[in-house]
Amino acid sequence: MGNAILHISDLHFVLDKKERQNKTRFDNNFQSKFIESLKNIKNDTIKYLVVTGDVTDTSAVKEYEKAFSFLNQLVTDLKIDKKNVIICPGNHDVSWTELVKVAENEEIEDSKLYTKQAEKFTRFTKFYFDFFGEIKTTFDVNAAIFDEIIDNDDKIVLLAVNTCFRESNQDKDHIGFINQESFEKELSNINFKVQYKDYGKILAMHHNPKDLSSEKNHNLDNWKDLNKDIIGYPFIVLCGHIHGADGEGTIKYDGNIIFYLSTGSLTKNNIDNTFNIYNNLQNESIAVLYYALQDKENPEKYFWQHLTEKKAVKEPKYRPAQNILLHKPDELITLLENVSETDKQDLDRKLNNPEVQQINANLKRIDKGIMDFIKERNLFKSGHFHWKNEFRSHGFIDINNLVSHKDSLEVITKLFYNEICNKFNEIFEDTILIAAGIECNIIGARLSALLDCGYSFIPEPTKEKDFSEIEKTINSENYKKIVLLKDIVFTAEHSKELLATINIDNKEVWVFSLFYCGKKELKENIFSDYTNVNFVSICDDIEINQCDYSGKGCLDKCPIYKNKLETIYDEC
Amino acid sequence: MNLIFSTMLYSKIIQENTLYILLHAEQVYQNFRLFNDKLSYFTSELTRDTIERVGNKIKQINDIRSIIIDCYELDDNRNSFSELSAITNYCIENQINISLIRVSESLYGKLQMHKLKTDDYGNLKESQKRIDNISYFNLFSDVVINIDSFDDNIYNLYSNTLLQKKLFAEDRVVEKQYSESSNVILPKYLNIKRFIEDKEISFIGLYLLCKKAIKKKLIPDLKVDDRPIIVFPSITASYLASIFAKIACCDIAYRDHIGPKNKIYRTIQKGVFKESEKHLIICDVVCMGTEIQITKNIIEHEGAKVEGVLSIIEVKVTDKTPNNKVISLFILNKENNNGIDYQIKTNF
Repeated sequence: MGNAILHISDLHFVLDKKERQNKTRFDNNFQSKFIESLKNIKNDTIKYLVVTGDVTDTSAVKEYEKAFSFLNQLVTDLKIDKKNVIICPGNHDVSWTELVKVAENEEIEDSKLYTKQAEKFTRFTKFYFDFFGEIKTTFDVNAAIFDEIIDNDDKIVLLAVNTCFRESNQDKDHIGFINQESFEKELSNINFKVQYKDYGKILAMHHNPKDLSSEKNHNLDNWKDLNKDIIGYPFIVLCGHIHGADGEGTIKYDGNIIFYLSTGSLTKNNIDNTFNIYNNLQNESIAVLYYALQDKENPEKYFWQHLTEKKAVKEPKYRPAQNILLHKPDELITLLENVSETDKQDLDRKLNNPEVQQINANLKRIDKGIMDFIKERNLFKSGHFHWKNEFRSHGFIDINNLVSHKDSLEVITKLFYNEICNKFNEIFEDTILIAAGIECNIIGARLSALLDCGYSFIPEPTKEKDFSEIEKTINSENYKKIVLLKDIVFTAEHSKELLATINIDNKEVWVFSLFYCGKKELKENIFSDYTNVNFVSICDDIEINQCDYSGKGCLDKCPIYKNKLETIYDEC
Repeated sequence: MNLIFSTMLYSKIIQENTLYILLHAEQVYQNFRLFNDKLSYFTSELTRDTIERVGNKIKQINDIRSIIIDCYELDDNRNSFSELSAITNYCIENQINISLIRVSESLYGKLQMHKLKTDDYGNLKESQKRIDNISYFNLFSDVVINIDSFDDNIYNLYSNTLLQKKLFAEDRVVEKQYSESSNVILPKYLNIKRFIEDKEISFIGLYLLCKKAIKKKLIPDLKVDDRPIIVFPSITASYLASIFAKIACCDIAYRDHIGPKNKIYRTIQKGVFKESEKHLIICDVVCMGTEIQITKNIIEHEGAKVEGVLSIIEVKVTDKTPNNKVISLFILNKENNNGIDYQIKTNF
């Protein structure tokens, strides 16, 4: 028995005869030829089936019945266990008819129609349950990851991702979109990096995450916003939607790679690539075979053959370099027979280490967020805040209070730690944490005890005249990565002043800030004048307006200050 | 999320090919990763991951002939014998003398340490000693160590390590030879920033400072709700305060900032020192006492109390007993200043 993956997509079962004749090939002859052909060329080698969406053309009940019949035949003839099948919904599998019914019967704004997840997936859900029967009994319409296959023999994890969270019958909703909160929460629960660190990881979804087209509805809108680091690199995304093959690695920092593999539509005319087969799952790389329909003009002689051109052959990496196993599993069992009961218990305890589990559970659980402390202790002040000429705002967060109390300080340290772990894959002795100012030195001190990295601190630039020369020195020359800890980033001018005092040439720089209080739309490009600076903020919930009056006599111009409405601080 | 916790030894002191490890300090720092604001110095449970980390790190240290693992102040454990025996086995295989000292009766039982006396697990020799009327076990593979006054030995060992590091006296540029807080000239500077950047001395140092403060009753047991608040006068001391407050399970209070120059910023911070509360000032160096006096004045101006002062280094400029109770990790005096040549001058 082999362990290859058969990847098909965009089946577009359609009832309309005209549509079938002109654009889509899906008569009974085509179906049986396809299955027969697969049996001939890949008999007993396909273990997994991945269908990346658009099983129907209009989400009509009859179309789903046809799709059910075909897929059932396929898995039966190829002897694929249904527990090894993933079927993702595509945009064509969302029922507009059901959404129209909702709009007719409820008072709902058009812009909110997409939120009717249960209704829009009603027909897909029924098809899903019909197909899987008792093997898969849930399809959570709100979940970003609605199904998973974890195979410990092949050491692979296959995750099914719903990219149709925003899809509805409204024009603006024809975009690929993943429920971000659910995606990140579910991935955190799976604990990839520890439990499945040497597994091959594959995500299956309908939309192609790469920006392939200027047309928005071709792309997955919020892929770039998702925290994918939780999965652990490298991994592969299998997708469809664009009716063509496209595979390419994306290099992230530290050489981390996501490989996108799409297959063309199985049934649409004029498409060369009709399905893919992935072999050699046990290796670090998998072999990709793109199949094309041959003898297209002669339905009686349909057959499929994989493309052999050099450019079509790809072997993307999808698992980290594997550890060398000293013993095969069966040898281990033999060895275990000869050890004492106490040692067996020790080994068992080691595998189920409660301390590690406790830390994992503790890190995931954040009982209180920063905003809760701010609300409870009234730490946000509105009014004119004037800190020398460099910083004028109409609002202030009392970070002094947050870092002074042990409960909020623990939460803040945990949040910083989580963010740092999310961005860095391993212990980083080539990295130095640099805390900016007193507040961050308090947080940074705790982090320095948790992480194997260098540590130093520098005063905030607005206060440096008051600090000794010794405190301004920093030892960063021997480090390749710099992590600058900030309490608040507003316009990032302070951070840039600090970066100017450190040699950051040819170094990877990360600015981690507790708050980002500037304009939301400016955040993404706030360090765009650097090529090597990355920015991460923990809380973006408070936006503070800058006082627009500057220069000589500025205080007399500011209406809040001039009229003595509310002044938080006015020492220049 | 990949957990990337430190693998370092927080309490490592090496003296003449002997590695000394304070297991309780290792556990206190291990507990940092649980992000629990109630876990502190007062923990007495030794966890398996602490022994495992210590064992892994020991294997990476070269040129060690003997290892002393001090188990003082630990009473509880959830059956981590295999991790402990891995350490003793490693030592015996590599001909390193191993000593497990000041093991409480409770820990001895819970760790099943009697097995270490058998041929299978090292054949260690055992002795018993009473400290403060409590019986402690000691297990040795070779030389029996005198554990009388062992706490004093630890402070001496640590002081020697500090002196070897030569972190504290740096020549300064002539035109900047002045003190930040008082009208004296300091040709050399005690560089506590380098102390902080060298984790191998700062973490164990702050643990030992807390141990001293507890012994002097400046830090009460966890059962006492009325805990002192840690105050610091400078950015350097803010690091010390953060680690110390975590170990001692205390809150922090500060004005941004009150030293070394006597300037108070941020009127919004009025009232951070509460009338009813007790405060401990932590600073990097106590020399003439000016910085402490400024801090104390501000705290007392708001009606709050100062219970004592903690410092990394205290320079004994006079033999007079200071007004405030000062607890220091290292005292620089006439006797030990020979190799350092720290000087305080005036223009007079």
